[in-house]
Amino acid sequence: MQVTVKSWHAVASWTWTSEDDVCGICHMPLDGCAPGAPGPGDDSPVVWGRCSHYFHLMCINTWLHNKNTCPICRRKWEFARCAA
Amino acid sequence: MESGGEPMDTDDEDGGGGGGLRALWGGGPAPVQLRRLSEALRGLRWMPLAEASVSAMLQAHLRLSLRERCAGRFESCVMERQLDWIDASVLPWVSAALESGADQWRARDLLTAASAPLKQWRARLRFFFMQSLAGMRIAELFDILVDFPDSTPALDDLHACLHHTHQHADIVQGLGEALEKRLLKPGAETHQILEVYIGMIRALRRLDPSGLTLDAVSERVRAYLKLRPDTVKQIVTTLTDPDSSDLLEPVGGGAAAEVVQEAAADGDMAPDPDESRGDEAAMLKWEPEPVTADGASSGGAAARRAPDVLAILVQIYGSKATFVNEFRKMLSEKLLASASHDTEKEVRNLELLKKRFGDAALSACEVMLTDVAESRRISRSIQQHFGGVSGGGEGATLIDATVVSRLCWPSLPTDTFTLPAGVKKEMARFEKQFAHIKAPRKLVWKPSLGTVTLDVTFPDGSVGDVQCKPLQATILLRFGAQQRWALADLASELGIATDVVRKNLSIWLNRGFISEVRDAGGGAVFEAATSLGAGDESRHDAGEDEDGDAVASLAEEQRIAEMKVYEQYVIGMLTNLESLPVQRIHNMLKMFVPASGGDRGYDCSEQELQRFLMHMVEEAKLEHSAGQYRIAGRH
Repeated sequence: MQVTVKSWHAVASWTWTSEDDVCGICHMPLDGCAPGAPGPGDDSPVVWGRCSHYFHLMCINTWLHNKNTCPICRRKWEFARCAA
Repeated sequence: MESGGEPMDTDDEDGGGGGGLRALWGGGPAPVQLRRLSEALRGLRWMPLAEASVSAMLQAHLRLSLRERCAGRFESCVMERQLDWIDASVLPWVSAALESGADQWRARDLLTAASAPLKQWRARLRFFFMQSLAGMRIAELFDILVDFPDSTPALDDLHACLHHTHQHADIVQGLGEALEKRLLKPGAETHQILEVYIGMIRALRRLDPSGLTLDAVSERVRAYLKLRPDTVKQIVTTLTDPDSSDLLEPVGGGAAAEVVQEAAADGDMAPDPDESRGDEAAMLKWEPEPVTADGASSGGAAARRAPDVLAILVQIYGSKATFVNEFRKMLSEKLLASASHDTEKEVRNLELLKKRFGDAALSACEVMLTDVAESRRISRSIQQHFGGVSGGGEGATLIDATVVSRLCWPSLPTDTFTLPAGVKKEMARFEKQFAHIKAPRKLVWKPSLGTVTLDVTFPDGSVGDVQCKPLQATILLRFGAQQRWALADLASELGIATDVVRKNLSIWLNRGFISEVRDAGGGAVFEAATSLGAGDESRHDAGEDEDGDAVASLAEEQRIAEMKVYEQYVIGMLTNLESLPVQRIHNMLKMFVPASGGDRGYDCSEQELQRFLMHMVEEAKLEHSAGQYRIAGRH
């Protein structure tokens, strides 16, 4: 008996970091929606700072309106170029 | 009646003329006997006394002839014809029997020049006839509902009768009893009950556009359906079934459209005077609904006027959240099972559902569909850009994947097993390319989900396009590489339990690709078939069925496994409080296990909790009696 795979349709889920991480500002799962965002993933992206802390883009933007620091370590906030 | 003589007389007339009576109604001349009798009665001025008996006799005969001519025939309207028959045949007889100048009874046009008493007789007979017809149709209503829409004429008759007789309360009681006797039985399948219920909704809407009758009758059906665990699933199945998608359309086919218009006219626009009077009378006659029923379904009156069947079906549960949740599970199963990424129908269904439930309630489903569309885009672009690199060599299968936004989907099983090396390599490649497109997101594979298409070749022929689940495919691939496997070896090779292997082997055993042999030690050993046995389609079908069942029960098992964490809470609660009903356990769990941070907390429905508790009862950890749960063996 010879078995050949013609097509393999797999299922996966995506995650920004690991599955149980939450955003330090809104305390919602990172993989979920930021408050007010229309949907998860592309619609509520996650950003990293130089200090290696990470938040929903929308959440940190709101924070940065008032202060230019990382809400967790209080260092000056700078976006990391790429976290991957 | 002061003397028994007169009824005797008329009884004689009835008895003696029983055979002749029908001939009479056929329009022959009044027999001498009858004429003489009526003259004698008139001479004695006993006519008023005889009238009661004449009336009773006429009613008996009308009922009899109605039963003979119309019972069980729902395909044509009988009312007008029968009323005409009363005018043409019965009324002349009454005139001949009770009035002077009986000679003229046939020549005169009775309807235009009838005497006042004859007019009364006519009204009385007509009313009695309609009452009997309505009574008969109400007794047959269950059959009429089952036959709907073929039985529409019978319903229209009943509708017209009710207009005069207002026997709505009889419908509620009679139909309710018929339903309990014939439908709401453990032996009836949920989908059958739903089918009848849907027919009933449509038919009763036609019968009573105000929806009051429907509401009163469906109370029992709703209460019963609510007790069945698979009702939501069946509703959604019916819903997503292409044949019955008209449930969602606000205006269905011809008949439904009329009903809706009628209902709309009733509710909002200036109704025609007759209709509204009938309604008012019905409303005055109606007892108010129990307060609890109304409270549960927000806005009973509004829901009663809801223009489509779906709204009423959803009402079974009172809350749309339960329904939406079940729809989500259903959608998930459907989307993950189809490899084609074709979501046109689902998108349409979702749009229609959104109109009903609002965007917010279905946002998760929306994300699910977006995920599938996005997955299709990604898979395509990966195949275009990177597909050519590895070519179609041995083991280099092109993988395409559905990538889901985990939090918007129902929880997916995470059980893993060792995938074939080639597939694993391809998955790693896909992952890398996904990361390239969607940096910095990572993928978490769900190996047990998805669909695989295989070609199986035997020396004497081949079977193409075999669809199966990944684990089943993996098992068959092992047999492709090595003829013989002991069950235990196979299980350890794949990194899963033996019973799981056996479960997933069954599809191939049923198809005859693999056969079971026993070795000397008595352990189960399986062997790949050397030839393509006699293509036994029947066995193949059986395999598919079993597979479907397994999927369904798997989902349930999985849910129970998820709820396992609450077992300790439940046992603790019952240790302290002796016995509790399911509602209290539900409420206490909600209190003790709140959502916090990433943890969703206790978010099960009461039904799910009940299923879980019954599972614990099966495991002999709990006892259940009179609606109370207690710890087993403690009294």
